[in-house]
Amino acid sequence: MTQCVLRAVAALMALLVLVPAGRAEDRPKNEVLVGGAISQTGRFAEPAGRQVNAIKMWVDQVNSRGGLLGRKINLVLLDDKSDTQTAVKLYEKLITEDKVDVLLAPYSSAITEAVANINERYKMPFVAYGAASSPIWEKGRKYIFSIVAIAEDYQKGAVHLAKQIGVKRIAIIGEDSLFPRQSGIGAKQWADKLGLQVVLQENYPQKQTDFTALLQKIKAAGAEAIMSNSYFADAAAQVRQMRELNLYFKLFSGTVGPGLPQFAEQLGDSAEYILGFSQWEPLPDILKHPGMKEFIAEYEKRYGEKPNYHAGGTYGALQVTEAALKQAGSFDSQKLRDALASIETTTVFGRYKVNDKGMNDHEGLTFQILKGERRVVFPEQWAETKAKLPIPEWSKR
Amino acid sequence: MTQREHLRNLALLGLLALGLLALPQGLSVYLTSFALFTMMYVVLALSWNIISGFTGYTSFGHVAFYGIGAYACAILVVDHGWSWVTTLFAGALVAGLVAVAIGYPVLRLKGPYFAIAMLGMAEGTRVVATVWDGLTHGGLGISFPSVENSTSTYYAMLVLMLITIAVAYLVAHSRFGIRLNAIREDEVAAEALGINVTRYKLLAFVLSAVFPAAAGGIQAYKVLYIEPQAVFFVQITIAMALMSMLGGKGTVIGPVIGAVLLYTAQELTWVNFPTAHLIAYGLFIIVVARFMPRGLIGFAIDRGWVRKGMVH
Repeated sequence: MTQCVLRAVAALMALLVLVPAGRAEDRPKNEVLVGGAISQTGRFAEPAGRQVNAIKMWVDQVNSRGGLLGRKINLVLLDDKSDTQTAVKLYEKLITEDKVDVLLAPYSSAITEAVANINERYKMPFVAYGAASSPIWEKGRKYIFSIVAIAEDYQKGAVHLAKQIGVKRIAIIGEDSLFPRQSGIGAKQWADKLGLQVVLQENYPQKQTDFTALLQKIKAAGAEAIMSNSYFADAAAQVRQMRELNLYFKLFSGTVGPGLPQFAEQLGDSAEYILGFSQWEPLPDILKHPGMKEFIAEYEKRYGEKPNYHAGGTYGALQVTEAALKQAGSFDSQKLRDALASIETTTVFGRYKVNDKGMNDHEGLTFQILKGERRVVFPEQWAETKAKLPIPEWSKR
Repeated sequence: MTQREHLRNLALLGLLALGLLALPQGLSVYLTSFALFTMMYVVLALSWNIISGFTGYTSFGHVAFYGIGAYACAILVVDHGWSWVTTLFAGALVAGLVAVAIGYPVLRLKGPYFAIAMLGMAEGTRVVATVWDGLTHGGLGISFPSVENSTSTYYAMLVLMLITIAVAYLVAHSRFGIRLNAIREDEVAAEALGINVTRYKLLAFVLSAVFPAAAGGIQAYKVLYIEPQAVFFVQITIAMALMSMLGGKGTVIGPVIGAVLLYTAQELTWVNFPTAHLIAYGLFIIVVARFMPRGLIGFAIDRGWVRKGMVH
């Protein structure tokens, strides 16, 4: 027993020695430490990986043009394993131990919600490129700023298009987790605003794959259109089963799923006419944001694919941070916070100007899958083509 | 074990307590958090060990009690304005009651059947937390108001860990513990000897449920945001089992060592090799399972480094 306890104590002591105790002192004067924790493993690794790409590319570009305020960026990116508990611990480490000068945001609304408390406690700001859930900004927080469109607006375009084609009754369904539920709440608000009747609103558990009962219930309730606040597998299953059951709706809109390339590939003809939402698309000729062409070309050169909205939003947030640092003139986090709250700038992602809650009014894009391609159909100023709605009946396709 | 040895062990625990009591003064917030979560895993592994190590009923669903505690804390603090420390007792009570209700039928199952029933139970509680919207806010999760909590949660976890170690130690050195061992070795024989196996199994199960619930509550208050996915995470159960097995299940000191070592190893691997940590972690588990099937304690006993009777 004695030996064992001694060994446990020894292990603890060894740990305290092994873990580096703060790097602030031995950091070169001409460097600036930029750091964050992001999900490099676990359930968020895929979308967060694109964000890591954008971050690394931005760091290299900034360093090659002389750094931030003349200082070279030293980047620290830790892995939160897609886990809130780890994320909180890591942000404490980044702030109190590594003493980063500039903080970067994590991925996902849930993790951002937890980490936002750390920002407040240590008064370190960041632009949250990985969170679209508005309750994060409803608590009077002062050190967290949004850049992407909020979840409540994901169905904005689809509801408007439904109204345009004369739909009166819609159904709102969605996976039961933070983000889809927020977009469901938003869909309901837009429907109320435009005078559409919501005849059914229901959440289904995560990983559900059988929607036949739910689809029939929707039909029986008299809905003409479905707003599905879903990810990939659930949205794909819903569309397949609609076809199998020969249930016809004038409009079907998914939130996340249709935006992924494999949606159109796997569903083929069934994916046609489906609406989806995107925060951003690599379409410089349509969106016309400054620097888009260069950003897209450089990203494609480095990573062999066009940037998606995760990459675009992250890069945009970093451009905002850079502009705010320039305005602040120093790495003082209070000054940076004030600059982020007041600055107005346009990035590859679009305009950035936050309201007094710290939320940016970003306008997303609603697209329709037409001949296997995503074509922007809403808002009108950016529409590539007019939406082909209502969807033709299954028998006439 | 003699009276003297017990006193010496008590003194060692007291020393450990004193050391940990002073720890936050000298450490950064991050290392305090690290120590907090290490202690949390000590609590979880030791509790798991009471039913699965002492009694031989391997549970793959212990995260359910942890999640229940986390939700009890969040619901009572956020929606009903309780003080957070009080909610820990409430969470432990609820978990204890759930353990009685579940344990009564499920503890009749043996071996893999029990393990799978517990796995199902943990999934069930996760689904309830997701679906019972009115109580748990479903998939939205529950967010606490922002508060300064680094030291308060640290001390709460320290007290909980000391209580858990003390209880596990007392169980191991009592007639109750010997009866649990008898059930593990041969349940039919134990029953034939007049041991009321149902009662003792149930008691062990309840004991193993209350501490994880309190730990879940403390961690909820530390992280300030919970959602079903995060607190009913099956990997937490796996960690409890792995830590106990690494240290040596069925002993008191084993799970403590296992939790400290494994949690530290995990932390060091991702600090130094962020992308390779999962591989390193996996290799570590394989090596332990291959070369130390009875854990570090068993390994040490086999080589005569530690006297057998001393390791409880």
